[in-house]
Amino acid sequence: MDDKQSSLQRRIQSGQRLLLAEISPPPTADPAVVRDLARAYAGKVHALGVSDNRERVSLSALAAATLVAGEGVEPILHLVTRDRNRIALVSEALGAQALGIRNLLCTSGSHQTLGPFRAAKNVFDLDPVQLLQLYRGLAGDATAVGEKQLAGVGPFCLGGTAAPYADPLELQIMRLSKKVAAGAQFLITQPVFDLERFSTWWDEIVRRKLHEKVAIVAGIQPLSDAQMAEDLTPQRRQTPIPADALGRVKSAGDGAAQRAAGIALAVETIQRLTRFQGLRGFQICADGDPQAALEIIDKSALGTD
Amino acid sequence: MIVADRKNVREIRAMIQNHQRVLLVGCGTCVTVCLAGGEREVGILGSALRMALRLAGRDQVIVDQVTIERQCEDAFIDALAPRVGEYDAICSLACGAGVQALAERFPNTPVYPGVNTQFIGILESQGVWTEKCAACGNCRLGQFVGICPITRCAKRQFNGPCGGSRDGRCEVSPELDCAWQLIYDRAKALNKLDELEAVVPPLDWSTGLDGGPRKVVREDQCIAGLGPNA
Repeated sequence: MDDKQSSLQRRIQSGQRLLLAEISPPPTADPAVVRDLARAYAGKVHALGVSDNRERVSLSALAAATLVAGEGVEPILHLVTRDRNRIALVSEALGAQALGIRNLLCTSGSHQTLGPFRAAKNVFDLDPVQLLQLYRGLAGDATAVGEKQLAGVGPFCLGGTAAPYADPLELQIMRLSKKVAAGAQFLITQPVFDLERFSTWWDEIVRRKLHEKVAIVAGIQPLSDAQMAEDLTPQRRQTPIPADALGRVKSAGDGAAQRAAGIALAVETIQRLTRFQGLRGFQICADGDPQAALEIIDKSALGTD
Repeated sequence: MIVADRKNVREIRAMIQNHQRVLLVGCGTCVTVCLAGGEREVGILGSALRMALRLAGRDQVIVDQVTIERQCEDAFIDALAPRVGEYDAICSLACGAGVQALAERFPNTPVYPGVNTQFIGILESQGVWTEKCAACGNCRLGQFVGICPITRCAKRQFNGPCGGSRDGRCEVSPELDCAWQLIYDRAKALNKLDELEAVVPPLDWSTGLDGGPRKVVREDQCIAGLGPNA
């Protein structure tokens, strides 16, 4: 066994099924919140994604991922290109490795004008494809990105996001294959609600055999607030939700009933996605409600074996 | 052209509040074309300021106006020089380059900006201007079928659209076109989609503002024997 490889990387390479969850670090400096979240998922998932200032400003992802690892849960550190240039991003990866973190998910992050610090300056020195290329270069041929070779860096298990619901489809697939060419070993999709569009996208993935080159994991998100989801859809902040699914959650009744309907919908989505040959697994993201994520895992009979 | 937008009268009045004789200077080039700081706009601003000052009981403040052909070239500022001594402040309605050119030329006179310089862009339709160029110093439009992802993609993505592109619109605002949708449509029409397939490596931003303020020197255009410091 190569101890430089994360267990996620070993599972990816051996073709095993993946069960992931994602948490958002809290907007506080309290480590107990992160530790509690990590403990809730311990033994229930193969790895736990730690988002990087998504939608709000929060405890740093690297610090949170370190806390997660401290609870015996393997973290996936998310790194957005919005807030850091290549100097900070290389430094962050070296710091992650020093702290025992090898799984890095490279993404651009939502535009800062959509969050609470809308007056902030953005960076976007690199896009996610270029960041993947940079990180792979650090562990191999760093000269490919104009940097000097750094000794003893990596290997990293690199990942990214996949966007079945973004346009134009043909360029999204092209971008996805660039991520693979640049070193991505796993990709997590936007939350899936609309199976029809997902199916169109998946056909294209299969046609190009991309699922054989990268582990594609479907994002699952329980709808706990149908009204909020409906409000966010026209702003393109929420992936499309079919009207019948939205209606089902909305008409379920009070908050608790809506939550239960959202969980049931997520479980059904997982069941329907299980039929997609070559899909490598699921990532459950239930911000603020880890119990909902655990319930989905339990009801879908998804285990970590 | 350089596109600017007018500042409001209140802001300009606050900037000049400690002055008694103010010269508003318009520019006959870009800001005239984009209707922000040419002769017409300087005239309107002059009237508005005089009216505002009168209402504030400050009729004694003198506000005059003049427009020169181009504020960003010293030779054109010559026409202004004899008058400047009569004023204790200048408000320039040129772009930021013009404001600074006047400040350099008249070291003893405070110079205030009368417009907000926005971008290098074009007249999209009557009364609408849009940004097209970020002046990055290393034009790659040839790689992107003539549509600039540095300027027109809110997240400066070089390898395709982000996950926020939907129905041709950008995640930042439904008012904004997704630059990559535009690149896609044009590349498809030109039968050049395959040219977008190669990974675009990280850029060298040092040719742009990130490398520090820039200077273009054309030795062949410099005065013979004197070089760039003539």
